This record gives sequence, C-alpha cells and structure tokens, in this order.
Amino acid sequence: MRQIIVKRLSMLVLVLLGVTLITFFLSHVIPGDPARMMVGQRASEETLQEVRRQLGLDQPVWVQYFTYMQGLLAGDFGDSIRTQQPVVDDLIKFFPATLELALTAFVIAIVIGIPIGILSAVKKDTGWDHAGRFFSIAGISTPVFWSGLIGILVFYKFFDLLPSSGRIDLTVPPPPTITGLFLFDSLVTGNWAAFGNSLWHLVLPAATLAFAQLAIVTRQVRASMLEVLGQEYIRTALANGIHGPVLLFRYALRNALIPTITVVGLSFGSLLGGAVVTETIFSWPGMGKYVVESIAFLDFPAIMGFTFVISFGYVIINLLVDLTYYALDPQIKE
Amino acid sequence: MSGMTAKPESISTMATPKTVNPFWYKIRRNPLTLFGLFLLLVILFASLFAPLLSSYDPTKINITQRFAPPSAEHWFGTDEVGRDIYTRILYGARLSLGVGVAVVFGAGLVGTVIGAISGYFGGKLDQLIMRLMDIVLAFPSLVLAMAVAATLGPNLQNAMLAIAIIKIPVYVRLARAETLALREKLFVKAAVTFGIKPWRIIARHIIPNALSPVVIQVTLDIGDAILLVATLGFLGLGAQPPTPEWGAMISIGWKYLLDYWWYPTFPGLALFLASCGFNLIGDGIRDILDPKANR
Amino acid sequence: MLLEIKELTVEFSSMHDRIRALKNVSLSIAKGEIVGVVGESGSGKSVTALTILGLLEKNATIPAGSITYKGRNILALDKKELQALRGKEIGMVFQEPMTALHPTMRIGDQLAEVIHRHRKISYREAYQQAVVSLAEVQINDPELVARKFPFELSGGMRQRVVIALAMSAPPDLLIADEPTTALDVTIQHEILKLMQELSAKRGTSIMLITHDLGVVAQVCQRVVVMYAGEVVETGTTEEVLRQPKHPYTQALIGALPDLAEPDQPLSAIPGETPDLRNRPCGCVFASRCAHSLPVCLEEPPVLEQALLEASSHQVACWRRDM
Repeated sequence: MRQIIVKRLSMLVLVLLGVTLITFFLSHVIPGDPARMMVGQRASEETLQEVRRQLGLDQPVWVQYFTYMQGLLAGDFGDSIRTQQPVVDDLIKFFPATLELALTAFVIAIVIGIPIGILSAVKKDTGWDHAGRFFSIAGISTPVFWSGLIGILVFYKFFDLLPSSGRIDLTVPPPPTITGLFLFDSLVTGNWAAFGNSLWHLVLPAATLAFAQLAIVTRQVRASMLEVLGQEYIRTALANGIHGPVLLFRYALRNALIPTITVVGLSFGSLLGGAVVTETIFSWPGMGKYVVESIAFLDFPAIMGFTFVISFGYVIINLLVDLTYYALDPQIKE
Repeated sequence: MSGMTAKPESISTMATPKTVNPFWYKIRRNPLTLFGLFLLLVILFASLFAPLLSSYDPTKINITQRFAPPSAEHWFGTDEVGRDIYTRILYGARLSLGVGVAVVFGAGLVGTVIGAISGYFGGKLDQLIMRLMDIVLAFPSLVLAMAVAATLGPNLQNAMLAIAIIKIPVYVRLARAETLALREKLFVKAAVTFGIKPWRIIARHIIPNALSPVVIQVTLDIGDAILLVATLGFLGLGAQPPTPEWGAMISIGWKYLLDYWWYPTFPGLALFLASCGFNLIGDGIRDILDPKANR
Repeated sequence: MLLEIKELTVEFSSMHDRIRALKNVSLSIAKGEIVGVVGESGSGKSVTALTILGLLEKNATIPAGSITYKGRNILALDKKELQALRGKEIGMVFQEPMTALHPTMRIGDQLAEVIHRHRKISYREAYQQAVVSLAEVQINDPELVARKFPFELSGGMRQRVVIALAMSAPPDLLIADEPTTALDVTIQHEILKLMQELSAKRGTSIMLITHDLGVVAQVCQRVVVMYAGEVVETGTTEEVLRQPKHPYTQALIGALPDLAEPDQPLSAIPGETPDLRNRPCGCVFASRCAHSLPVCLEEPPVLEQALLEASSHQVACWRRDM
C-alpha cells in the first residue's frame, strides 16, 4: 500500500510540473507580448517597458520559466489587471463561495443519483429504467447555462419561489467568517436568519450544477450494478436465500460503488467547469464568476492563476479518489 | 450407424425461427435510441434545408421588430436588433453540427495516429507521449479549453482548436491500447518480417483494425463537443456575434431572460435537443456493440 | 418422496428462436438418498437444477410439468415463498468455486449472513456458528479462515465454504451442480467424501449433477441419465452401470478409458447432439444410435420399466429388451 502512495505521489509531482509548463506556455510563450498581456491594452509605453524588464523578458525562455515557477511556489500569480489586486488574494476571496456551491451540488448529485441508478438497474428494461436512463442522458446533454436560465424562469419569474442571484439578500447580514461557507458558519453561530436565507439562495444554483453530475452518477451506478448483479456470487447468494435490501446493499452495491467512485471523482472536473457557467448565470460571487469577468477583460494573470489553481485542485482530488479506490478493494491491499 | 436424420417436429408445436437482423431488432427494442435517431434527423434536416425552411435572412437587422415575442410571423420571436430567432437557430444548426463533427473527427484522427505511433514504437517516445496526454488530462476540460481559447484569441476557429486539443488524449489512449494488442498479432509480425516499413504497417494494418472503439467514442463525443463549443461561445470565447451560433446567441440573450424570455430559451432548447440526440444514439450504439450486453 | 419432478418442459426464447431445453423430464429423490444426474454438456442437467430453485433467466418459460417438494408444487410459488425456500429447504452448490463467493466480503461474514437469515439467531451468534460450520467441512484453523477473503483460499477450500454455505440451514435437499469438476482429482475425492458424510449425518438428500460416471459410482445410490434435455434411463447405480439398457448409456460407459487396456483406442459416440431449436420427432438419440428401428424416428419412446423384476430400472427406448 505504501508503495502505491509513493508511486502516485511522484506521478502527482510530475503531472503538476506539467501543469505549470502548460500554463507557462499559455501565458508567456504563445501570446505575442506577455508584458502587454500583463498590463492590458490601456497601459502606457513606460509601464510596458518597466514590466518587460521586471518580467525578465530579455532572459532566455528557461530562465523565464524558472522565475515563473518561483513565483508560483511563493503563491504569486501576478496582479490582476482588472482589480489591481494580487490574483492570489482575489482567488482566496472568492474561493469559499465556489467551494460551498460545488460541495452542495456534489452531495445532491450523490444522494439523488445513487438511488436512481440502483432503481434503474434493478428494474432494467421497464418503464422505470427507461425514465431513469432518459433522465440521465438529459442531464448530460443539457447545457448548464440553459438549465440555470430555465430554472430562473420557472422558479423566480413564474412561481416567485426562489431568488435569481447572489448568495444572500442584501438586507440579511452574512454570518461571521469562520470557514467562508455561509451554511456552516451560520449554523455554527446559531444565526438562523442567515442560514435560511443562504440556503434559499443556494438551492437553484446547486440544483442546476448538480443536474449534470446526477446524470453521470446515475449512469455509472446503473452500469456497475448491472455488471455486479450478473456475477456468479450474486447467484450464489440468491440460491442461499439472500434477497431484497440485504442482497442489494450488502452484496451488490458495495462492489458496484468501487468503479462508481472513480468515475464520480473524475467527473469533478466537469463540476468545476460547470461552476464557472453557473456562477455567471446566478451572479454567484465565486471564482468562476471572477474568471469569466477576467476573460471579458482579457485579464491574463487572473485567467492563468485560476487555471492553475483549479487544475491543481483537480489533480489532488483525483489522487484522493485513486487512494480511496485502493483502500476499498481488498485484493489490491495485499 | 444409421445415416438417416429424424424428422423435425411439426411446425405447430414449435415457434417458427425467424431470421431477424440483430441490429434493427435491438434498436426497435430501445425506444430511447429511436427517439435519438429522430432528433438527429430533425437537426440534419434543419441544417440542410435552412434556406428553404425560413424566408428570413439570419443576419438582416430590423430595429422596428426588436424583441418581438413569439408570434405567427416570428415563431421564436426576435432578438435585440430584430433578427428572427427561428431562422438563426436553423442556420446555427449548420454551424453546431459542422463544428461538432469537424472537431471530433479531427481529434479522433490526430489522436488515433498519435496513439498508434506511440503504441507501435513504444519505448521513450511512448512514455513521453503518454506523460503529455496525462498532463492534458490533468486539467478539467472546460477550464483548459477556456485558457487555450482565451490565449489564442476569441473566435470560432480557436475555440474548435481548443476543444480538439482537450479531446485528443482519449483517442490517443484508445488507439494505443488497440495498437499494443495488435502489435502481437501474427499478421503484423508477418508484415514486419517481410520488411514492410513501419509507417506502412501502421497505416495499412494497425490503424484500420484499431478503429472500432474509436468510432464508438466519436459518436459519444460529438454531443459533448457541440455543448463545449456553445459553452465557449456563451463565455465569449467562441463564435462572435453576429454569427448565429447558439452559444453566442445565448451569451447576449441571457441578460434579457426576465423581460424577453424567448431569446435565450429557444437556442438553448436547440442545443439540448441536438446534444440529446447524439447522446441517445451513442448510448444505443454502445449498448448494441457491447458484447457483455445480455439483453 | 422428497422431490418429484413430473414431465417438466422448459423453453428459452431468444432473439432468433425458441429452444426447448427440457422435454418431459421426470425424476424423483427420496429422503436421504444421493441421486446422480448424468449427461454431457447441453443435456439439460443444470437447467433442471436451476428450475427447481427458480433461478432461470428471464427469457425462460415452463410450458408443462410440475415440481413437487414435500408435497408442495414449487412452480406455483410466488417470489416471497420461493425466497423462503432457497437455502432453507433446498441448498445449491455451483460448479465454479473461484467465482461463487463474494470477492470483497470475508468468509466468516458471508457464512454468518446466511446462517443469521436461516436460523433466527443474532448476527454475532451466527458468526460463531460460521466458524463451527467451517470446521464441519473439514477446514483447518477455521477462525483464521473466517477472517480471510475468498481470493486467499485455494479452490478446494473455497468449494468447502460453498458447501458450508449451502448446508447452513441445514436444508433437506442439496443440489450440487458439478461440484468437483473444477477441482484437482485428489481434492475431488475428498469433497465427494465430505458431501457423503454430511448427507449421512444430517439425512440430507443430494442431487448430484455430473458428467463423470466415476463420481456417480463413488457416491450415488441412484442415477438418472439425461440426453438432449430428456431422461433416457434411470435406476440404481448398480443396475444402470452394470446393465445399461439405453444405447446412450451403453456408449457412455463404453467410452470410458479402460486402465487395464491402455493401448485400446478410445471409442467416441459418432454424430452430434441434436439442435434443440428443431427437436427430432422420434427418439432424440435415434440419429446417433447403432440399433435404431424405423419406429425410433417417428415416435418418442416413453420411460418405462426395463425388466419385470427391477421396478426401479427404467429406460426410454423402443428396444428396451436388449
């Protein structure tokens, strides 16, 4: 087991190195004038020259890369052209909102997706199954921005049930910052007004984001369950009188979950991508909205900083998923 | 040993064995796949016959008619400069379909070739290529596509390039896996002993035989590619207005959602149906070709 | 009579056609006896076993016949009643020990779960019982084995576990579908002996499905010979093996290599098993039979007594007096 961790960690370092290479490539090598990228179209010629010198653009490429890496390790992504703040500070400011949204969506996807997948598998080829599969395909096919818009149309405009933007009403003071996650912070400080209001604001964006995840989870659970249910050992259990929930959960599901975890972990990537779009639609003050605004502004330091941080997180998540997989499968343990 | 064969039982006691084409049999049994096929045909029809299906010009501006709600004259309403949305959706179908197919075919082709080369030659080259693919796969798809598209400049071609880049690694892996297996087969080894040059072996023997999983993957990917292009368009990174690309239309239209709901809704619906169609078909094809299917 | 199968017919429908896997199969098993069901692959022996426990695939239909267990028609049982029957009254051992056990559950837990279900005791008590069960199937160091996973055990040990599982309740009937085929010859012998002992101790009947006549000779009191989904001969082991009446049985016995004459060429049965989608009209074996008469091709023979004295020896052949 330890060997595996060491191997995976060394792979991790290599991949992260590659990530830095690509972001460096994208930010420094491809654009014609990185200095111009840094300061934006509106800066003066003097600022431009100064930045050029500072960036060491007269140095050979590999020295530039080295400097870039130094910056990264120190947590320096440069300053945002738009906000004039260090990009890393901006990202930290907006991170909790995105985390809250992504986590909630993830939990919804799992809690609803797994039962639907099981139902679909157990009732294979019946109306339930077809409905479940259509639901799953619809989820994968729906553009996240569109489902969000429809959600707003229906629940905000039509039914006037849910808000269409923001994390919390302006009239409700947000909870004190412990983790930055409004739900957690308000719960812990007993601030019910903030809790309720935050939850109310969270529903629609989280559901929108969860929809696509749901589809992936459902589809995978169904496929894995079908595979497991067709195995010999299930027949043995059946022949010995095991049936119903015990068979389904203790015997079948635990094996079906193993490949599911891997797929679900990988789908986190699409969750992060979907968050970008969702935050835009719902004016959710997270990293996604930040980067979209940066794109419109052609704020490259911000764009690259975001890309790096998100990819870094994604790589770590995948590593955790892999380790969980190894932990669950006893055959590999030995 | 008597050489006679016994008479078969009379027909009435046994079901008549039908000669059934397994392919259509399986499709018929799955209504979802059928529906997907229907959707695809609709989109194909729309993109092929767009000029015939609408009398409006997709780019013609008509300020007096701006933000007109759906009516008999404008089935899906008009946008902020009075263009007919229904017409723009029809022409957008051409774009989305063309772009989706082009991107996936391109990625599939390039990926297959790279994968075949990597698998065939092995060694350091293989290691290098696979590490490179791992790195590309380390990024969440949309995020990398955004970064690449933003860096190259916001237009449709760059968006297509960006998406093709992120799709390539899957094909490289697929083709490489097939190549590794094919490399050991007798007919390939025979070709080697005949002195046939590696390029020829790869092109003539390896790649044609490695295509089966690639084709399945392509069908599954087109729907996703269409969505990705539209998403980039929505973010301002793909096709730019006034091009009638569905994502670009929504990038402007969404701000008017509450007042003029039809503007972002209908292009989005078109996107959904297009993607749905491809995914249903892809799913159905995968079910049919899956040897483990015990239907 | 513990189990009585009367004229059972089972069909499978697929995309192309309908296969009649079993036709008019009749056999019975009394309390405490070990009955062998012999036949080659495709003879329908496994289908018979699966039909008893209701474990057939979804595309199977039972157009005719009955299966009576302790007086109840188990084909008429609903799902719940069938589930109550499985394991508790009738246990089953499958052929492949390598895949029969749950790969990520410990041996002890797998046994405990079944015991807990059948014997109405707490899970903890059931676990202790599980260790005892392992000892009863002659596994050394049962506490240690109970904590292991299936992949850590050898084939022979796994099959013992499978037997322990099937005998948990304990059931009055054990169906063993080729329980030793996948095992080494030396282990085979031990497993068969184990089953024999368990049967003697608990009074459990065993339906032993096999293609190996040697197995039949070793443990079975009676034997049923099947071919192409039909029963062609049945009787006590002594009767059938000493004086086989059906040409197929005779050919089977004749095909056994004779250790006393190692240089003799092996004799095989010419021809092929019939296509079960298009069953022949008359005797199912007629096309391969060296002794067939014209009537054999037209009318299917009925399973009837062979000789006047031995009422248990029955054969389905127009030339039963041969």
